[in-house]
Amino acid sequence: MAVTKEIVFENYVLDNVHGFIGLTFMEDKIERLPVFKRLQDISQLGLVKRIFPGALHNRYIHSLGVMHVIDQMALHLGEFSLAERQLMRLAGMLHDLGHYPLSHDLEQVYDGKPNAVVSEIPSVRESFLDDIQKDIYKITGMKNGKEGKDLSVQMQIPKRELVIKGPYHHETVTTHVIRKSTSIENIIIEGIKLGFFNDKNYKWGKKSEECAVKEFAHKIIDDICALIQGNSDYEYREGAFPTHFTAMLQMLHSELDADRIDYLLRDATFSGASYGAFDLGVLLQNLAMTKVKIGDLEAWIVGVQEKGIGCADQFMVNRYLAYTQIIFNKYTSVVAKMLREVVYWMMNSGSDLKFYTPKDIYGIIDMHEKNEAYFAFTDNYFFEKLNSIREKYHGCPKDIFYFVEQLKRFRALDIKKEDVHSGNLKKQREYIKTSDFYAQLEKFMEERDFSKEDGLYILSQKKITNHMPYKDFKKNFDAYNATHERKLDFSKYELDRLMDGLAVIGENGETMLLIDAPRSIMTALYDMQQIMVREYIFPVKSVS
Amino acid sequence: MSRISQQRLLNAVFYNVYGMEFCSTNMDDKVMLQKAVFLMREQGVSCGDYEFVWDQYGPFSAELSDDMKMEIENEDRQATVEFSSEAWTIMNRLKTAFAKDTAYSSRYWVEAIASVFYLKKYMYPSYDDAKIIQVLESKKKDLRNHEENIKAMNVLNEILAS
Repeated sequence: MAVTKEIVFENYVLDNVHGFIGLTFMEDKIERLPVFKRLQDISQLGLVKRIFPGALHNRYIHSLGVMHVIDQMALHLGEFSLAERQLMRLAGMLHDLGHYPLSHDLEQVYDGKPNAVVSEIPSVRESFLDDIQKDIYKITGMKNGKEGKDLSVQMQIPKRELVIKGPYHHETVTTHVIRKSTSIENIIIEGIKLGFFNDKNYKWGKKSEECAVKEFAHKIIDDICALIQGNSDYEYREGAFPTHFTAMLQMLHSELDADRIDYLLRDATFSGASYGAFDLGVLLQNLAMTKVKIGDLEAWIVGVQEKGIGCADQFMVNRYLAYTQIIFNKYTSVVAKMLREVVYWMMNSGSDLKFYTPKDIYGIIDMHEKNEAYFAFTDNYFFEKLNSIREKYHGCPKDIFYFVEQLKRFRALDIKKEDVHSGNLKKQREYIKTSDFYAQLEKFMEERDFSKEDGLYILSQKKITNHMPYKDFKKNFDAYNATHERKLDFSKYELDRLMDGLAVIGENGETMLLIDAPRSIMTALYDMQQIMVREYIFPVKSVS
Repeated sequence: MSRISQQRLLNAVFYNVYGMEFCSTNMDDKVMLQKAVFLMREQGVSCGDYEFVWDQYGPFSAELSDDMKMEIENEDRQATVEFSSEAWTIMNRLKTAFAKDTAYSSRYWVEAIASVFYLKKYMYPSYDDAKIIQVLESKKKDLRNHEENIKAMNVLNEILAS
């Protein structure tokens, strides 16, 4: 196989969203691996398909979609070598390799609760109430009517994309799968020998070819894992391959990344709802990148040109609507929680159901090339376990068993009351203080009288962006440093902010976030969030 | 479901790992608690929803820094924290590792171990141990005792192997 001046596709997959997705030599081989095929049995949106029956798409096609989109972004930006494009394509293709069955629905069980402390398995009512109490406390800073932690300090540090997650987050699990896969390593070695990663900036050094190739393969794997994890602390050296690492990072981990682009389009296509749809062609045409230096730090920033602000606004607003209308739909929210309670019980019941615990996951991944346990850890695994639960035989509590029966019959809980409110945080807090619904909920939280057949409450919250305008960011950062002995380095956070958020790049290379761009509607909407509280009918008395 | 406060939990972690009460105004204590929580998380035991990045004193979580500042509510002070068996295993492992003989102060010793961990796992995964130590010494002026850094690396490798 000759090294060519363009990416060469060996095979194609037909996709509803992007049409034909090409696969290079390496990608074609990876696509055939059982560890990748496993993703065909993992639904992209978990149990959302119970409510939106067309949402049957899976992590497999989404992974190929991300690979395709990231390459389209690279082509439109025009700065990347073939080797860099191949690296990004592999990172996009493999970015969800370690995802859990039913995707985020099950991930919340493995990655959701701190596990340092032993807790009794609470009743369903207690569990739901604990959750909503925490959620309300996070918003209001009030606990049972009393002022709690001063959240104003904490909220100065916004949630970032570019951080390494905990050990059970699917990104971390994914990197573990990749590192444990000799098949993937061998495919990359083959690709290196065929010249797929030839790049003038990679220095082979004075080793034997075999040694050098293996070392390079490990470096490629490290690069892929760093991209997948959004590891902005990963060492990249100026002038070394890949020279555009910081740009590649954002293309997989930022407010405007290939992952979001694909899943929004895909979720809109399959769910039947148009929320999330946007004009990809216009967005791609308006991409830009520029080098930014802040203090001693430097990075490529990927964003949109000023004339692309309209399509960037559309992207942000539609993403917000996709979450509030589909992901946090009143029935999808409760089905996800029902699943969580059932799985949590299965893990801790001590029965012969033996649902894999967090401790088990790495064990089965380590053995995935020797036995089939990991390949079988898909949606089917969950449904087999669900269908085998016997109330008396397994000592299943009544409240959990009610969920089991509902899930088996494709049913959610009926809704009793709903309160949905949009606005900025200040408005939300004022609203919560004066709302009768919240007053009723607060009374329940104080009394915690589970003998009454009150409903179950769920709170869902979606912000349109996690970022704040630059002047507020700077003000809050200075206030944070004034109240902490250990000062944070502003340059690092300022640069991270540009990498993390959706950037706008002016004609002269000046950069700002979309929420700071005068032309953007996000200057008015940046602090918009929607809070949805629902009460569901739960006709099972509390188990004491 | 245990409803102890986050601050009570963090205090208990500090006490179990270091054998002394945590002081939220003491810089060394804060650095040491950051590293203990980080290393616990890396070994699969999570004390909270904390994300770590590289910072001046090694792996650091801004959210954890905020949580450390909270006062323990009165009714919480005597609350027993029931750690899981995994948490006990990890805390005891760290307690042993941190108690080893070293020319560094406790705070710098702990910082050295956590820092080489982060450098090795996340920042320079392709580097061998000797190179990692070189990087550590170039990045941190307070951690330039080469022999102690080699010891810290050995201790880290023992932690990872167990």
